[in-house]
Amino acid sequence: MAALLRTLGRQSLVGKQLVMMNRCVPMATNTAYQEMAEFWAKNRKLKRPLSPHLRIFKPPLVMMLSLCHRTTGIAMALTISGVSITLLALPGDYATYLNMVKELHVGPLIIGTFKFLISFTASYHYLNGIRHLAYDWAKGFELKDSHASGYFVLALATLVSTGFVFFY
Amino acid sequence: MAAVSLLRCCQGARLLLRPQIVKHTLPGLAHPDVASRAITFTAPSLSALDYFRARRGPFTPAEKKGHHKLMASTHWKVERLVAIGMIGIMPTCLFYHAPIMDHLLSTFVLLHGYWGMEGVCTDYIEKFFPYIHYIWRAVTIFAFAGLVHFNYNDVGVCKAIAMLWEL
Repeated sequence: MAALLRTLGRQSLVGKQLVMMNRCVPMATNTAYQEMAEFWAKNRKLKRPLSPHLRIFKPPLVMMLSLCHRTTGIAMALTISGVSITLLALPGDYATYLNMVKELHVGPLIIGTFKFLISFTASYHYLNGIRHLAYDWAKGFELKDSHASGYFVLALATLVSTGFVFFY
Repeated sequence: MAAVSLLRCCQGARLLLRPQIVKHTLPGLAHPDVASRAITFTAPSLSALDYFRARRGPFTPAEKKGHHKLMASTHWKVERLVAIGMIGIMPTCLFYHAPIMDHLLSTFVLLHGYWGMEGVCTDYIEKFFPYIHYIWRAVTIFAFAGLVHFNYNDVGVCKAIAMLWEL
Protein backbone atom coordinates (compact mmCIF):
# COMPACT_ATOMS: atom_id res chain seq x y z
CA MET A 1 0.00 0.00 0.00
CA ALA A 2 2.75 2.33 0.99
CA ALA A 3 4.77 1.16 -1.98
CA LEU A 4 1.84 1.93 -4.26
CA LEU A 5 1.56 5.47 -2.88
CA ARG A 6 5.30 5.94 -3.25
CA THR A 7 5.22 4.80 -6.88
CA LEU A 8 2.32 7.10 -7.69
CA GLY A 9 4.00 9.99 -5.93
CA ARG A 10 7.26 9.33 -7.73
CA GLN A 11 5.54 9.41 -11.10
CA SER A 12 3.88 12.75 -10.44
CA LEU A 13 7.14 14.24 -9.19
CA VAL A 14 9.03 12.82 -12.14
CA GLY A 15 6.67 14.71 -14.41
CA LYS A 16 7.53 17.95 -12.60
CA GLN A 17 11.20 17.00 -12.70
CA LEU A 18 11.18 16.70 -16.46
CA VAL A 19 9.68 20.16 -16.75
CA MET A 20 12.25 21.73 -14.43
CA MET A 21 15.15 19.81 -15.95
CA ASN A 22 14.78 21.78 -19.15
CA ARG A 23 15.61 24.92 -17.22
CA CYS A 24 18.41 23.47 -15.04
CA VAL A 25 22.05 22.83 -15.96
CA PRO A 26 22.90 19.19 -15.21
CA MET A 27 24.97 18.44 -12.11
CA ALA A 28 27.60 16.37 -13.90
CA THR A 29 29.75 19.45 -14.56
CA ASN A 30 30.39 19.98 -10.84
CA THR A 31 33.82 18.76 -9.81
CA ALA A 32 34.42 17.18 -6.46
CA TYR A 33 36.22 20.31 -5.23
CA GLN A 34 33.30 22.52 -6.20
CA GLU A 35 30.92 20.24 -4.34
CA MET A 36 33.12 20.30 -1.25
CA ALA A 37 33.37 24.08 -1.41
CA GLU A 38 29.59 24.38 -1.78
CA PHE A 39 29.12 22.03 1.17
CA TRP A 40 31.24 24.26 3.40
CA ALA A 41 29.71 27.48 2.08
CA LYS A 42 26.21 26.16 2.77
CA ASN A 43 27.10 25.04 6.27
CA ARG A 44 28.77 28.32 7.05
CA LYS A 45 25.77 30.25 5.74
CA LEU A 46 23.39 28.20 7.87
CA LYS A 47 25.78 28.77 10.80
CA ARG A 48 25.67 25.14 11.79
CA PRO A 49 27.70 24.33 14.93
CA LEU A 50 30.73 22.06 14.82
CA SER A 51 30.69 18.87 16.89
CA PRO A 52 32.50 19.35 20.21
CA HIS A 53 36.14 18.40 19.85
CA LEU A 54 38.62 20.25 22.03
CA ARG A 55 36.31 20.64 25.01
CA ILE A 56 35.37 17.01 25.45
CA PHE A 57 38.77 15.30 25.36
CA LYS A 58 41.18 15.20 28.25
CA PRO A 59 44.24 16.94 26.79
CA PRO A 60 46.99 14.39 26.16
CA LEU A 61 50.46 15.13 27.49
CA VAL A 62 52.13 15.01 24.08
CA MET A 63 49.62 17.50 22.69
CA MET A 64 50.23 19.92 25.56
CA LEU A 65 53.99 19.61 25.20
CA SER A 66 53.79 20.27 21.48
CA LEU A 67 51.57 23.29 22.16
CA CYS A 68 54.10 24.58 24.69
CA HIS A 69 56.84 24.10 22.12
CA ARG A 70 54.98 26.17 19.59
CA THR A 71 54.00 28.83 22.11
CA THR A 72 57.54 29.25 23.43
CA GLY A 73 58.80 29.40 19.87
CA ILE A 74 56.32 32.11 18.91
CA ALA A 75 57.09 34.06 22.08
CA MET A 76 60.81 34.00 21.43
CA ALA A 77 60.52 34.82 17.74
CA LEU A 78 58.30 37.81 18.42
CA THR A 79 60.38 39.01 21.37
CA ILE A 80 63.70 38.77 19.57
CA SER A 81 62.39 40.48 16.44
CA GLY A 82 60.62 43.12 18.50
CA VAL A 83 63.64 43.89 20.68
CA SER A 84 65.97 43.99 17.71
CA ILE A 85 63.76 46.38 15.74
CA THR A 86 63.25 48.54 18.83
CA LEU A 87 67.00 48.77 19.40
CA LEU A 88 67.43 49.70 15.75
CA ALA A 89 64.81 52.43 16.01
CA LEU A 90 65.55 54.03 19.37
CA PRO A 91 68.56 56.26 20.07
CA GLY A 92 71.27 55.45 22.58
CA ASP A 93 73.02 52.18 23.10
CA TYR A 94 72.16 48.99 24.93
CA ALA A 95 74.04 49.87 28.13
CA THR A 96 71.93 53.03 28.49
CA TYR A 97 68.71 51.08 28.47
CA LEU A 98 70.06 48.51 30.88
CA ASN A 99 71.01 51.34 33.22
CA MET A 100 67.48 52.72 32.97
CA VAL A 101 66.17 49.37 34.13
CA LYS A 102 68.81 49.23 36.86
CA GLU A 103 67.65 52.65 38.13
CA LEU A 104 64.25 51.15 38.82
CA HIS A 105 65.84 49.05 41.59
CA VAL A 106 63.46 46.17 40.99
CA GLY A 107 63.46 43.61 43.79
CA PRO A 108 65.28 40.28 43.40
CA LEU A 109 62.03 38.31 43.38
CA ILE A 110 60.74 40.04 40.26
CA ILE A 111 64.15 39.90 38.61
CA GLY A 112 64.36 36.21 39.46
CA THR A 113 60.88 35.57 38.08
CA PHE A 114 61.71 37.25 34.78
CA LYS A 115 65.00 35.37 34.55
CA PHE A 116 63.17 32.11 35.22
CA LEU A 117 60.54 32.83 32.58
CA ILE A 118 63.12 33.76 29.95
CA SER A 119 65.36 30.79 30.67
CA PHE A 120 62.46 28.33 30.95
CA THR A 121 61.14 29.44 27.57
CA ALA A 122 64.52 29.02 25.95
CA SER A 123 65.58 25.80 27.66
CA TYR A 124 62.19 24.11 27.25
CA HIS A 125 62.16 24.94 23.54
CA TYR A 126 65.78 23.79 23.22
CA LEU A 127 65.25 20.45 24.97
CA ASN A 128 61.89 19.72 23.37
CA GLY A 129 63.51 20.71 20.06
CA ILE A 130 66.02 17.91 20.53
CA ARG A 131 63.07 15.57 21.27
CA HIS A 132 61.38 16.72 18.05
CA LEU A 133 64.56 16.17 16.08
CA ALA A 134 64.56 12.61 17.42
CA TYR A 135 60.98 12.31 16.14
CA ASP A 136 62.16 13.49 12.72
CA TRP A 137 64.55 10.56 12.67
CA ALA A 138 61.59 8.35 13.64
CA LYS A 139 62.87 7.60 17.14
CA GLY A 140 60.82 7.70 20.30
CA PHE A 141 57.33 7.73 18.82
CA GLU A 142 55.87 4.93 20.96
CA LEU A 143 53.43 6.40 23.41
CA LYS A 144 55.22 5.37 26.58
CA ASP A 145 58.52 6.57 25.11
CA SER A 146 57.12 9.96 24.18
CA HIS A 147 55.52 10.27 27.63
CA ALA A 148 58.78 9.39 29.34
CA SER A 149 60.85 11.74 27.19
CA GLY A 150 58.22 14.47 27.63
CA TYR A 151 58.35 14.31 31.43
CA PHE A 152 62.13 14.20 31.25
CA VAL A 153 62.24 17.34 29.09
CA LEU A 154 59.91 19.19 31.45
CA ALA A 155 61.94 18.23 34.52
CA LEU A 156 65.27 19.03 32.89
CA ALA A 157 63.98 22.38 31.59
CA THR A 158 62.83 23.37 35.07
CA LEU A 159 66.16 22.28 36.52
CA VAL A 160 68.17 24.16 33.94
CA SER A 161 66.10 27.33 34.36
CA THR A 162 66.56 27.22 38.11
CA GLY A 163 70.25 26.81 37.51
CA PHE A 164 70.26 29.84 35.25
CA VAL A 165 68.44 31.97 37.80
CA PHE A 166 70.90 31.23 40.59
CA PHE A 167 74.16 30.23 39.02
CA TYR A 168 74.75 32.06 35.75
CA MET B 1 14.54 9.59 -3.36
CA ALA B 2 12.36 11.71 -5.58
CA ALA B 3 12.92 14.66 -3.27
CA VAL B 4 16.69 14.22 -3.53
CA SER B 5 16.66 14.19 -7.31
CA LEU B 6 14.34 17.20 -7.25
CA LEU B 7 16.77 19.11 -5.07
CA ARG B 8 19.72 18.08 -7.22
CA CYS B 9 17.90 19.34 -10.27
CA CYS B 10 17.44 22.74 -8.69
CA GLN B 11 21.16 22.97 -8.07
CA GLY B 12 21.45 24.33 -11.57
CA ALA B 13 20.05 27.61 -10.26
CA ARG B 14 23.04 27.93 -7.94
CA LEU B 15 25.36 28.25 -10.91
CA LEU B 16 24.07 31.80 -11.18
CA LEU B 17 26.21 32.53 -8.13
CA ARG B 18 29.43 32.04 -10.01
CA PRO B 19 32.70 32.07 -8.07
CA GLN B 20 34.78 35.09 -9.08
CA ILE B 21 38.32 33.79 -9.40
CA VAL B 22 40.77 36.64 -9.25
CA LYS B 23 44.02 35.34 -10.70
CA HIS B 24 46.75 37.65 -9.57
CA THR B 25 50.37 36.63 -8.97
CA LEU B 26 52.21 38.73 -6.42
CA PRO B 27 55.91 38.47 -7.26
CA GLY B 28 58.61 37.41 -4.87
CA LEU B 29 56.31 35.77 -2.37
CA ALA B 30 56.87 32.25 -1.16
CA HIS B 31 53.15 31.54 -1.33
CA PRO B 32 51.91 33.50 -4.32
CA ASP B 33 48.85 31.37 -4.80
CA VAL B 34 47.53 32.13 -1.35
CA ALA B 35 46.71 35.71 -2.23
CA SER B 36 45.64 34.74 -5.73
CA ARG B 37 43.05 32.44 -4.25
CA ALA B 38 40.84 35.32 -3.13
CA ILE B 39 37.60 33.90 -4.42
CA THR B 40 34.15 34.42 -3.08
CA PHE B 41 30.66 33.26 -3.91
CA THR B 42 28.86 36.51 -4.60
CA ALA B 43 26.69 37.94 -7.29
CA PRO B 44 28.70 38.74 -10.43
CA SER B 45 29.31 42.36 -9.36
CA LEU B 46 32.48 41.98 -7.27
CA SER B 47 32.90 44.42 -4.39
CA ALA B 48 36.40 45.66 -3.65
CA LEU B 49 36.34 44.27 -0.11
CA ASP B 50 35.72 40.74 -1.29
CA TYR B 51 39.02 40.78 -3.17
CA PHE B 52 40.90 40.83 0.10
CA ARG B 53 38.91 38.09 1.80
CA ALA B 54 40.84 34.86 2.05
CA ARG B 55 39.45 31.72 0.53
CA ARG B 56 38.40 28.91 2.81
CA GLY B 57 37.67 25.46 1.65
CA PRO B 58 39.17 22.54 -0.20
CA PHE B 59 42.06 23.50 -2.46
CA THR B 60 42.92 21.53 -5.55
CA PRO B 61 46.54 20.33 -5.90
CA ALA B 62 47.08 22.83 -8.69
CA GLU B 63 46.17 25.67 -6.34
CA LYS B 64 48.41 24.36 -3.60
CA LYS B 65 51.45 24.01 -5.81
CA GLY B 66 53.78 26.90 -5.15
CA HIS B 67 56.49 28.43 -7.32
CA HIS B 68 59.43 27.31 -5.23
CA LYS B 69 63.07 27.11 -6.23
CA LEU B 70 63.96 24.42 -3.69
CA MET B 71 62.18 21.12 -3.38
CA ALA B 72 60.20 20.94 -0.18
CA SER B 73 62.20 17.95 1.02
CA THR B 74 65.49 19.82 0.55
CA HIS B 75 64.09 22.81 2.40
CA TRP B 76 63.05 20.51 5.23
CA LYS B 77 66.61 19.13 5.44
CA VAL B 78 68.04 22.65 5.60
CA GLU B 79 65.64 23.47 8.43
CA ARG B 80 66.78 20.42 10.41
CA LEU B 81 70.46 21.24 9.74
CA VAL B 82 69.95 24.73 11.15
CA ALA B 83 68.22 23.24 14.19
CA ILE B 84 71.08 20.81 14.75
CA GLY B 85 73.54 23.65 14.38
CA MET B 86 71.70 25.58 17.06
CA ILE B 87 72.12 22.69 19.49
CA GLY B 88 75.85 23.44 19.49
CA ILE B 89 75.67 27.21 19.22
CA MET B 90 73.31 27.98 22.10
CA PRO B 91 75.42 26.70 25.01
CA THR B 92 78.64 27.94 23.41
CA CYS B 93 77.46 31.53 23.12
CA LEU B 94 76.82 31.66 26.85
CA PHE B 95 80.49 31.22 27.67
CA TYR B 96 82.51 32.14 24.58
CA HIS B 97 82.00 35.75 23.57
CA ALA B 98 83.44 36.55 20.16
CA PRO B 99 82.21 38.34 17.00
CA ILE B 100 81.89 35.02 15.16
CA MET B 101 79.56 33.74 17.88
CA ASP B 102 77.49 36.92 17.61
CA HIS B 103 77.09 36.49 13.86
CA LEU B 104 76.37 32.77 14.08
CA LEU B 105 73.84 33.23 16.85
CA SER B 106 71.90 36.02 15.17
CA THR B 107 71.83 34.25 11.79
CA PHE B 108 70.78 30.86 13.06
CA VAL B 109 68.25 32.14 15.58
CA LEU B 110 66.54 34.42 13.08
CA LEU B 111 66.49 31.77 10.32
CA HIS B 112 65.01 29.20 12.66
CA GLY B 113 62.50 31.71 14.02
CA TYR B 114 61.54 32.77 10.49
CA TRP B 115 60.76 29.23 9.39
CA GLY B 116 58.93 28.48 12.62
CA MET B 117 56.66 31.49 12.33
CA GLU B 118 56.12 30.71 8.62
CA GLY B 119 54.61 27.43 9.77
CA VAL B 120 52.44 29.21 12.31
CA CYS B 121 51.29 31.74 9.69
CA THR B 122 50.46 28.96 7.23
CA ASP B 123 48.60 26.93 9.82
CA TYR B 124 46.55 29.56 11.58
CA ILE B 125 46.70 33.02 10.08
CA GLU B 126 46.77 32.91 6.30
CA LYS B 127 43.24 31.59 6.08
CA PHE B 128 42.07 34.87 7.56
CA PHE B 129 44.73 37.22 6.24
CA PRO B 130 46.82 35.82 3.38
CA TYR B 131 49.29 38.76 3.32
CA ILE B 132 50.76 37.80 6.71
CA HIS B 133 53.65 36.08 4.92
CA TYR B 134 54.79 39.39 3.45
CA ILE B 135 54.57 41.06 6.85
CA TRP B 136 56.53 38.38 8.66
CA ARG B 137 59.27 38.35 6.03
CA ALA B 138 59.61 42.15 6.33
CA VAL B 139 59.75 41.91 10.12
CA THR B 140 62.47 39.25 9.96
CA ILE B 141 64.54 41.30 7.52
CA PHE B 142 64.34 44.34 9.77
CA ALA B 143 65.13 42.21 12.81
CA PHE B 144 68.22 40.80 11.09
CA ALA B 145 69.27 44.32 10.16
CA GLY B 146 68.82 45.32 13.77
CA LEU B 147 70.94 42.45 15.07
CA VAL B 148 73.72 43.08 12.54
CA HIS B 149 73.72 46.75 13.52
CA PHE B 150 73.81 45.68 17.16
CA ASN B 151 76.73 43.33 16.55
CA TYR B 152 78.77 45.98 14.73
CA ASN B 153 77.92 49.17 16.62
CA ASP B 154 77.12 47.91 20.08
CA VAL B 155 78.23 45.19 22.47
CA GLY B 156 77.06 42.19 20.44
CA VAL B 157 74.33 39.68 21.31
CA CYS B 158 76.41 37.23 23.38
CA LYS B 159 77.76 39.97 25.61
CA ALA B 160 74.29 41.54 25.74
CA ILE B 161 72.79 38.37 27.21
CA ALA B 162 75.54 38.27 29.85
CA MET B 163 74.94 41.94 30.68
CA LEU B 164 71.20 41.32 30.95
CA TRP B 165 71.82 38.50 33.38
CA GLU B 166 73.98 40.69 35.60
CA LEU B 167 70.90 42.82 36.34
